[in-house]
Amino acid sequence: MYTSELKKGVNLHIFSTDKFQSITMCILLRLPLKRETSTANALLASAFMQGCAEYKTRRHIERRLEDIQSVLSFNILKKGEEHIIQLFVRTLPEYFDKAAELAGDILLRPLFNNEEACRRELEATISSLVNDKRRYAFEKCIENMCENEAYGISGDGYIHDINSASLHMHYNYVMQNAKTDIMIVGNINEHKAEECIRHSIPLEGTDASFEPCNYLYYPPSIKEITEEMDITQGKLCVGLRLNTDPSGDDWYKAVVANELFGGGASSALFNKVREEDSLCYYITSKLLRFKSIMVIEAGIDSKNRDKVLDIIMSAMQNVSDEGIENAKKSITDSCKIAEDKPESIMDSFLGSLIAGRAMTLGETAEKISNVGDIDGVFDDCHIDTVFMLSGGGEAQ
Amino acid sequence: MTDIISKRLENGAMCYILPKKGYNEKEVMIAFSYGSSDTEFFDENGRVKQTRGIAHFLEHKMFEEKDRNIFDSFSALGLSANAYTDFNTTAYYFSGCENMEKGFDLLMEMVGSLYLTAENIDKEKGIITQEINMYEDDPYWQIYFNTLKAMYGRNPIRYSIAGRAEDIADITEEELKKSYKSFYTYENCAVIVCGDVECGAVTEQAEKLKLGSKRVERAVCEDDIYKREYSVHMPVEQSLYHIGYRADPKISIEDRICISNVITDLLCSPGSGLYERLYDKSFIDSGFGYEVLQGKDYGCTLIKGEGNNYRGIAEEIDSEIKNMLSSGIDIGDVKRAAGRLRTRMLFGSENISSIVSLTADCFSKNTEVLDIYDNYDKIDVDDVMLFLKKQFSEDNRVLSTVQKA
Repeated sequence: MYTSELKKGVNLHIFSTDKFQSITMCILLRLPLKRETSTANALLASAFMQGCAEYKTRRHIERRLEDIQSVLSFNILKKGEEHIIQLFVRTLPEYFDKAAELAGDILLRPLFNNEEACRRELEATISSLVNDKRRYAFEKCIENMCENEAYGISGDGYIHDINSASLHMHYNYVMQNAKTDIMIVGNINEHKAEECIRHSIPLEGTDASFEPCNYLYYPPSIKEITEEMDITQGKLCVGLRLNTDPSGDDWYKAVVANELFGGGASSALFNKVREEDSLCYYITSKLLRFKSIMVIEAGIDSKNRDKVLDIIMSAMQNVSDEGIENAKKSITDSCKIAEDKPESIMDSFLGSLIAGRAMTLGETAEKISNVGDIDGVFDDCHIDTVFMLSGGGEAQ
Repeated sequence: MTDIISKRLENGAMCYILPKKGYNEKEVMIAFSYGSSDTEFFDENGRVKQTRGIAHFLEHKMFEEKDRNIFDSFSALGLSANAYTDFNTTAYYFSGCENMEKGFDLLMEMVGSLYLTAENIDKEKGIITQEINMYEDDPYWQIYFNTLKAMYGRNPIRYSIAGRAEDIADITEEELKKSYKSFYTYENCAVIVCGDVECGAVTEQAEKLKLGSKRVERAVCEDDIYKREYSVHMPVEQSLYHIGYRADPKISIEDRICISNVITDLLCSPGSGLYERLYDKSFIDSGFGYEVLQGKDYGCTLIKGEGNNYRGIAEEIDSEIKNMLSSGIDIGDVKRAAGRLRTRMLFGSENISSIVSLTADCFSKNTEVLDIYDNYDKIDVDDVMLFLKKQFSEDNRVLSTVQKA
């Protein structure tokens, strides 16, 4: 792996490999997640594609992309307490220079020529959250759980703020204050790529620094929230505070324990709640690393809420080392498998940057291999919020 | 584009090897050209009509073994296993980095036998009912099947893959056995292996596969549009819509796939004039898109999005089609669209799980991934014009919506 500091706060990371026929590049504009800027960030992410100095409209940009056999898109990511505007490019080696030029033009000389359309589009995105009941329950659980922390802020923004955000002003703010990481994966000469990026995407640099994410929290009591909706299957979402340092070695213990507890089709939760008790189709637990949070999600009959919750709690108290070697193997293999996907290579590296400890997938796998046991891993773990999206099933 | 080596095995099954030099991951899939739409067929005793959702139910039951949990056996090898059922395919697969030969044996063992008890069938009904309930609440899933329902009066693709809770309640051991015997055969089977693997070793091992060789004839369904408009209410904030066009399944599947994609790309991609007009009028947003679904005896193109202006959008599409038909299409535009679609296929082929699933899908539909990829190069203006005129007419169109409750 090759890393170079292009300017202060602007870093280039190249993962050179001949595995892929394509080249993938991400430009990540990293900002602190704040209520005042979350909507404007989301707006900006959707506004970039509307045109730039050389290619005046969306249509011109798309035409250009066809000519250079590339795809380019913008996304908004919420990772820990960072809010990230991501420019994603996939292209072929022979068009890399041209794709970088286009990315530079879009990023540095944007024309926000249809602000209204962006606002309308963002409103549609925010209001469509309810269409995905599982994600809706998840977002509601986190919003309530972290109501006094930055992590409780929505990454999609707020309908209420859509009209007050100023795109141009906010663009200037972002370009001056975002820490930027550029990642490239593919068969590419590192020095030529660096030269090309310096030339085509000359970013200014920034002195901005971020507060590290606070991960310690002891909930004074359990928040129990139930929302009614006209649905057939209830969605249970339980948020717990692990209080484990996400950049310490104990974190990897938690990763292994999570795999055993609710990670997949061999986990305790899957075997108990689905296979033995036939109470659900899906039940999983996952870790939100930077906040040291565990979230358990299940789709169940609403009337079974308390029953499922009891099973979850007793499974948690009884989580054991049995099958630990399989669990570790499964995680280390998934690290290796992630090396076959450019998106995963970049995502994992970004995660380690946010945790303040740059690590490759190989190094993460090694940490997992070194986990000896999971003793005491959930000792400091407390339920914070139980969110239930409830409806249907009650009449039985 | 990725290499695909295909070979008919001596036992009669097809074998596809997709070499991925330097990749750590390997995936092995055993796929059957048997899916939710194969509920009617003919065997030695005549016409058989099975319960909706049976193929998917059987998929769940294949994981059941007498003395062990098969997921745990895969996991003990460091492999993760899964399966899916769609209209035409049931596929079992696992992926991992090591122990591939052992996993392959295990997978062959799994699909080569069926272990059923009244108790384990009952237990599965509870799990699948929860799966069905999950889809019930998913407006994207609902609109998808409503569109197909509107488009097809009888073809079984109009029914949800998992069936309804009341359908699967009646599924019995006998019925599952019949389905297994009728379709889990060599001629319906494809073994697909992707990763940094050695070809000879794969085919040699695949010869060990033990399946039945019964032959059944599938019922072919021809029918008409059922309803021009289909609308339901659900808890959504803004309406979801599908504008669907039926295609004639008598046209070759490669042409249907490539030409439908080229046409919808010309019409609806963000680089098109129509997209720009619709966007400027505030009719659409970035959720606007399309999907092409083509099978042996069905086929359609779905233009979809969210918002309340679907009638206006349908009108604009109509007038754009009329305009294309009267003033013609530029060959340069057709080539650009075809090139874009080929690039997208190439990018997709770098992802192991997506290229493996695509290979299985093509197998079930009697075609090959590379035939489709190559066919994009052959599409010319006359093909596009003829297809546009015949398949994208108002007669072939349905409108399906989910509206705010």
